[in-house]
Amino acid sequence: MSTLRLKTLPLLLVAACGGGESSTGSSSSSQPWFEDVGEACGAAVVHDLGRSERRYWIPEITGSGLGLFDADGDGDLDLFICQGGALQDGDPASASDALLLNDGLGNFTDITASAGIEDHLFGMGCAAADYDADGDIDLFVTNVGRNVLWRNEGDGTFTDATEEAGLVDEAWGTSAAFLDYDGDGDLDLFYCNYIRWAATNEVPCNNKLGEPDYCHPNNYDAPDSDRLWRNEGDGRFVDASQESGISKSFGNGLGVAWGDLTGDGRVDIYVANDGMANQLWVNMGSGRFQDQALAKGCALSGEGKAEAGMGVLLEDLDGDLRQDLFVTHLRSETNTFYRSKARRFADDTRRTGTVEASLNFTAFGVGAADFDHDGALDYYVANGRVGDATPRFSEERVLAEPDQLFRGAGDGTFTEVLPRGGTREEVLSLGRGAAFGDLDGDGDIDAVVADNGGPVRVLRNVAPKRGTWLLLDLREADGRTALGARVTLQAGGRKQLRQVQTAYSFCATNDPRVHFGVPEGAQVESIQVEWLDGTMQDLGALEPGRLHTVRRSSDR
Amino acid sequence: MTRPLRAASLATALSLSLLGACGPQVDLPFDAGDLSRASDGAGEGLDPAVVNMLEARLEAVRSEPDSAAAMRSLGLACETSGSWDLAIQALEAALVLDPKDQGARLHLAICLHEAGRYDEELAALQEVTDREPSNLAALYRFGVANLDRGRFDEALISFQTLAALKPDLHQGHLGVGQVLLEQEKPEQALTHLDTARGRAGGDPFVEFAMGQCLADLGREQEAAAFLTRGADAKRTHIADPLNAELSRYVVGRSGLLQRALRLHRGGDLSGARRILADLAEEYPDDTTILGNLGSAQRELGLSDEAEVSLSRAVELEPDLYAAWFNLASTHLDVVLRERKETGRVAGERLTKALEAANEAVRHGGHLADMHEVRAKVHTLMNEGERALVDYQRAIDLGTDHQETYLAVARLQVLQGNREGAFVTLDEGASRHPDWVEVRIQSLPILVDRRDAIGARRVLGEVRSLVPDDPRLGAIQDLLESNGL
Repeated sequence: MSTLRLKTLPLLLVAACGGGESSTGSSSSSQPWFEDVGEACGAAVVHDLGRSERRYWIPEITGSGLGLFDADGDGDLDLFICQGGALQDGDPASASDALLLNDGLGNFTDITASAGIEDHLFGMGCAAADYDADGDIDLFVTNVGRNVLWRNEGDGTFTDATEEAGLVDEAWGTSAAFLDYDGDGDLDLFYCNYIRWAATNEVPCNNKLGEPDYCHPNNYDAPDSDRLWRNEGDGRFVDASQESGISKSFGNGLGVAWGDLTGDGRVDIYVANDGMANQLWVNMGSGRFQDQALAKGCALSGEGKAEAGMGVLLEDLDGDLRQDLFVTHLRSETNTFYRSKARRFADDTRRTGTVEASLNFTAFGVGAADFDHDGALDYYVANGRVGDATPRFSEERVLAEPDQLFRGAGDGTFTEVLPRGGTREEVLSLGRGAAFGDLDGDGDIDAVVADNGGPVRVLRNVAPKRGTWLLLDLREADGRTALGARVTLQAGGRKQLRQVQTAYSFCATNDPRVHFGVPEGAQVESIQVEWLDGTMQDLGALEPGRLHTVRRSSDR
Repeated sequence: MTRPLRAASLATALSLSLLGACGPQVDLPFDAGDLSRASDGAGEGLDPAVVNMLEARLEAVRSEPDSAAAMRSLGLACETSGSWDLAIQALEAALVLDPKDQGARLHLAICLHEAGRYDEELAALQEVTDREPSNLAALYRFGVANLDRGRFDEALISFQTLAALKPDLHQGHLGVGQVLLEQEKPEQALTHLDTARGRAGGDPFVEFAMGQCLADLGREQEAAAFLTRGADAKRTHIADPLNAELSRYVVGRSGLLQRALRLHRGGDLSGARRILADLAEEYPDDTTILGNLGSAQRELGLSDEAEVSLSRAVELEPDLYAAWFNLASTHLDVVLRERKETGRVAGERLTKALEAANEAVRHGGHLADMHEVRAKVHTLMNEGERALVDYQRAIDLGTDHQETYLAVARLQVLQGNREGAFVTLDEGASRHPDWVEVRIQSLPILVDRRDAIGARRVLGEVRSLVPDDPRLGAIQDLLESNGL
């Protein structure tokens, strides 16, 4: 009955790791893959924690995220940035979350005030979609405290529709996703909750050096359940967490991705939990879900360990036309690659060639894209510590780490691109949310990375290309983005699988368009779409080097 | 308490220079004064007790500059304190003095691993196993290191060698099984994992590997229980001859606390209590030490001692809900003991238990355990309604205790709410595929409902979880006699 609780148990029991250098699985590139243009492009936003000194309260070190979505309906990706904020009465107000409009070339203008989208709560993540089917993209923002649903009025302004939509929740929300889990044609909402936290529940923790530091979430021993809201089709949502079974299970939820992970034609949800087993919510039909992560092999590491899950990817990383899962983790843990097999997933990280390269970093945001157009998915991870440890990369920002970029070979193996992060020089930051999409309309995938307590970084893709590209903007018959549709492109005899998805990474919303790299010398031979209801459509051999908007015919 | 010396500062002070002109010689260019100056200058760092211990080891090295053993001891002392870089320097120096000391090389490999220098770790382990092909601890670590890097053929050789050398140990068989799983040969892996299980005495890490194997074989229902039992287990390494020496260097508040915790987890409550009691003498106002001491005392049945320690802890830190929880549990222990001995419930103790449980809920109400302990007090006070509320809250908060589901179901049955009881038991079963009792207890309700399909399904699950359970026959009879 009793438990021995060391409340000052150090955050990092595996401490004092050595140098961050790894001599294996890395390649030095003479040309950078990314150029940080954050300030130059007008996105000069600094993540504001609301207080200058750290109190070692866990929200301070957990946020925040950001998102890319078309706020003004002009066809390009605008940028939404979550800010920190007050954590208890009397705290100074931080800067508001920010909305920046893109001019189509990747230059941004802050329109937060004129858009009426000001929010000073402690921001975490966001999800964007047209929940009310009025033709423009709305935005849902998770906070440490009251979440906010911003309804896009279509005239450049947003209205707080949280109460009206019935979405009131004051838990600590993190990553969020719009999805149609019940197949009724409107978009429901799922989001992760982290822990049941209040300033009064804070506990003191020390690091290996005996100094005050941030606690592991399990020190609070207060995991929360996630939430599923059913869209009623009239602008209102109903909390379906209990009836669906989602509230039956608890976890320190941080990352979410969704798709048909079991091949039964229904939408399943995968949640990465911090320090607890991950959840795979298998859609049983009739609005019911069951967590089958343990049986399906994606709850724990291959050695049975619950890892510190942060960001999630659902992508076919090994080119076998099955979607794999990828979860980012704390230093001393690998970023884990759950390969999709016939019956289940299996931790195949050991085969990726990235074990050493990931063990010394704490990874949050993550995105996979064919950054160099060679026909294979690469991936980018945003790194930054959650507690002090030696050796430090920087004495000025002791928690800072460089991000990492890995070049894919197309078979599930990867090589790290150096300098770290693919920029001309390593950049040290506290990487958190990371969002991915074509910001400047040049057909390659750029990235935006949130830095906890630092400036947002806009990473323009300047990678030396090994081929060309093709972008697909897939729409349902009513014009809404066809979330969940899967596309198979064949080029040069090789097939690539993608899904229309915005919810992946950590606390981020991403470009809904599907991007393919077409390797040099290869021709696009075919493109086939599997719409969310399982209907197949052959698009033929579309021309590469341009964006194609495909609207599903209504006579299906 | 002075602030401890930062590990990095000590590393600078301890920069070892190796001079090898006329045979191995190691120069330590610092003295105790350097050490204390470094401590003062940095103003933070290692626990003073750790610094004292390291100073003693340094002194030993200075007294015997040619002694590889003294240098190795310094390395082990640094390893114990988690100062990996220092430990690496000292162990490398020890190996200069005695290149044949494979024990030192093995610990060098361990420290290199902890420091994130994985390639060097692998090289060190390779060297140990080359020079001492029957070093069991090194063989296992070498196998694991290769396995972790995806070098499955190399890993297999180590594990097979280990299994042949020491077939009674589970680690070699486990490793072979794990490699075969990686190579997608689950049928072959099953044999080796079965052997490992037979030798591992229920080691949950082995259980998890078995679960993976069964899942790969498509035996998912069987796999579920293994996977649940093995979740979050840690790999058990093979002890080497230097482990005993390592334990001698565990000093300082943090180190001793962690050692006490390890002993506690390992079931050595007396050992944990001894360390914690010594610590409590040195740090009488340290609520962490008092709280943990109280917990260990309670579990050893020393209720009076536990009450003193825990009461002091909550007096010093009134919102320490874990201590309130343990205090309530301590009072409950006494109540239950007295009831067993005298048949009566001690009202005064029960009141104390309730007071402590109320404080536990007040300060830690976000935790299921706090509600559970109060529910138990309410139950003993015959306050069924109140107990039910707290138990239900514990379920809402995600308790992992099967007893709570069973208690709620029992209370619901007492209230005549058999359907509610079934929902509770079913919920417990769906959340925890390895729970047996909630399944068994739901069977009579399914029989009442004449739910043949449900009853057969649950019986099948129970059979798969506990095929040798003596109640299975009676359950089967119950179903058959009711025509199910």
